[in-house]
Amino acid sequence: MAFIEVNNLTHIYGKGTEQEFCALKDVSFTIEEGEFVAILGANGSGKSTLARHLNGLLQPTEGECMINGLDTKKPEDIWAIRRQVGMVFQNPDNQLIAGVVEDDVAFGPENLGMEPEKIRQQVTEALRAVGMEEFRKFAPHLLSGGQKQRAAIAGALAMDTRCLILDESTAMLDPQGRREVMGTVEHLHEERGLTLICITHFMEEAAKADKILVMEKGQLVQQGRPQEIFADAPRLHKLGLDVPLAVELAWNLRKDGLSLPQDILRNDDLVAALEACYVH
Amino acid sequence: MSIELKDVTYVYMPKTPYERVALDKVNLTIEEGSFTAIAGHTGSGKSTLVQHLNGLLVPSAGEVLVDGVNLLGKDKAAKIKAWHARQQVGMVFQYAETQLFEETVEKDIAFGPQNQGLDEAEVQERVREAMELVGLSYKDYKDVSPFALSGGQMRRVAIAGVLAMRPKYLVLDEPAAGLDPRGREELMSTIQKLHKKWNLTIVFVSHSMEDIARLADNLLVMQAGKLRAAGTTAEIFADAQLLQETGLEPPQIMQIMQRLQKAGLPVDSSAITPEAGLQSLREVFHVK
Repeated sequence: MAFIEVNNLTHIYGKGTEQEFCALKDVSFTIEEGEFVAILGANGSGKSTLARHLNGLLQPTEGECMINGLDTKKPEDIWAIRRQVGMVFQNPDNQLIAGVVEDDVAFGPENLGMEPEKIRQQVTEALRAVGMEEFRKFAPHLLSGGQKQRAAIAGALAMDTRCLILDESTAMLDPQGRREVMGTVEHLHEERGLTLICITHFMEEAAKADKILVMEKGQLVQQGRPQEIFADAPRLHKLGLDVPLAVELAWNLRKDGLSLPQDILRNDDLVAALEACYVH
Repeated sequence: MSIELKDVTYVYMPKTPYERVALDKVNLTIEEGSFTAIAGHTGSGKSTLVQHLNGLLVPSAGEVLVDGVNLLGKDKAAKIKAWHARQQVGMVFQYAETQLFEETVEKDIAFGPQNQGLDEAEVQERVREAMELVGLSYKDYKDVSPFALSGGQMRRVAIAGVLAMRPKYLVLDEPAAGLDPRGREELMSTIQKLHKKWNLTIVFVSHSMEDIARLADNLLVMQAGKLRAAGTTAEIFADAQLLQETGLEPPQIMQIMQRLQKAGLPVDSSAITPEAGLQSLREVFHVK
């Protein structure tokens, strides 16, 4: 059994009304525990609708979402699911609710009815894991965007989440904030085996994933390793997407007749390949 | 003609415990016809700065001149002059699509020119023109609800609403933030077209060094409320120490080229666009 199993998921907004809109159509895939998965797709392709099914914020119109063997359609399982799958949204100002960072991080564990001593311990550990201990007593509005997002991540960690969904969580951040947030979640993924699902328009972020899912008009049109997905640049361009710069450059140079390996994804790969290729 | 800032200082919530100097004696000139980007860390004063360019914020000290007219008119005649000068500077905010409110695209774009007191025919002409400028067909989109459009299209409607007032200077605060790659590409091409074909002077705030390298001629770097540096994009990106100290990084292509150069390859490490980088790589590897 995979950690996340989505079977024939269809979601229709406003079913039976004039505004009826089919946002997801017959989507199936699995995600293993500890995997890093990126979801790509143009605006309106159904990425966020899909993500909201993975912790039961939305219910399938048809099909099912199984999280660690639990069905998101069963109300009695919903809290167990949300505890395991945490979500970080796009706007850092929309998800911190308490007056001080530590209260915000403690909100989840408190609602789970943890012992106060245990809560303190969970909060301390979660803040340490995202490198935010020194901001423990800060009011959220005094934090930078990247710090706010890290505080939101800590809130999920304090509930012992096993999976984090980042729904364009870096879209509103400056380059430094983006590095902070991605560095934090990549570290958690590598050190603790946290399952990571990352919806993004930044292809450089997606290139680091184990697997990429590509959405188009509510359908899952492609899935595979980044090397496979980015190999077909023209197809991605047609979907309104992009490829990482290193892939684009390698693709152009190969077309001109330079012999470069096929699996170039990141700047590191390209620099190494070009170095090896150059005759001094 | 130009927009000029002279010793502009802006203090948020002065004389309270929350007092904060957001702009500290900023001097700069934006020449008519130029394409200028503003970069800097979050909180460095970029957005506060652009809100001074058309008088939305009034400096705590110093002055802002648009085509030589002080935006802070003292007497009645000067106030009228200042109002006209302000009309020359159009402002597109971050996530501008959140400001759309009308039932149709046409009505939304018409709101500005109507408030300028123009007659019906002139307003319609302005709407038509503005929609064409941002690449939305008047015929196809005028009666559509702006809320039925994609994120990128909504943002272009918002920009059209500003263009309909026929500004000479267009100021955009992070115009492409949050758009998908295609939306981003379309929007940035639109802005480039407004500059090249229609001679609009462009000022834009961006976190994307790629967009800045591709589009802008000049770059202003803000740091802690001060104008830390001003120059051409090539000059600024070549100054590694400046970038590091201000929390910026060169465009990705430049990072790749610099690493290759360090490894001993005779590549052009001053390339700031992918096209220039690719050109240099082709020469070094004798292909094409």
